[in-house]
Amino acid sequence: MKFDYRKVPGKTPTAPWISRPIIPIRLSAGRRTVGLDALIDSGADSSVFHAQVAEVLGIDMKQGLQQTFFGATGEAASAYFHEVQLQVVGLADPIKILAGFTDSPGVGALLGQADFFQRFQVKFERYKDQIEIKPAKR
Amino acid sequence: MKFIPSQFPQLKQYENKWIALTHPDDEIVGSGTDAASAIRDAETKGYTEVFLFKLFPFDQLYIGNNEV
Repeated sequence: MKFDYRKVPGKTPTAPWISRPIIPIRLSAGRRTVGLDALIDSGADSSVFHAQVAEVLGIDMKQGLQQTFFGATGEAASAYFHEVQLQVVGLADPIKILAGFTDSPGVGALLGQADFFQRFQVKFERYKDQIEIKPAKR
Repeated sequence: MKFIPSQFPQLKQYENKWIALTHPDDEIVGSGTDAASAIRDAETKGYTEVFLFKLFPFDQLYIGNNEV
């Protein structure tokens, strides 16, 4: 499945928009599902979502396994991990992943190495403004 | 409203909020300061199949999880 890079606004009205590898996904827990535009972050160890996504899914975030993580600033924050189902829009089969949820303000929806990169072949073609995602063949 | 560069002045109102987008048209059909309220806003307009996107401040670049 091919997706265009998503462009997000720059600093000023005339600044060029910034291209990011963001794809549409559905995240499910129990009978609830939420659609998200999620950033593919190959530098992230795990997939992490904001705490408000857990709320929408009816997940009691702090009941999950707590894990400390750090970002570019080196400052530590907590995420709580829960099993959820992830479906890339346009691909048939959802996969189970262990997703972290955090109230860190810099996190919206991130797809990281554990689970996501293990289960999908991800091809970044920034020069074409295109990302290709396929189920991984082992 | 379409999520496109020509709409920049109107998009400023959504900075640092969650927006609810249709796919594949990228129409903004809801917004809120939290994810649930963006969904509710879209639902009141009749949109039940939306994709949430956190619109971070326009004047900041992303380098890893830079706002931890």
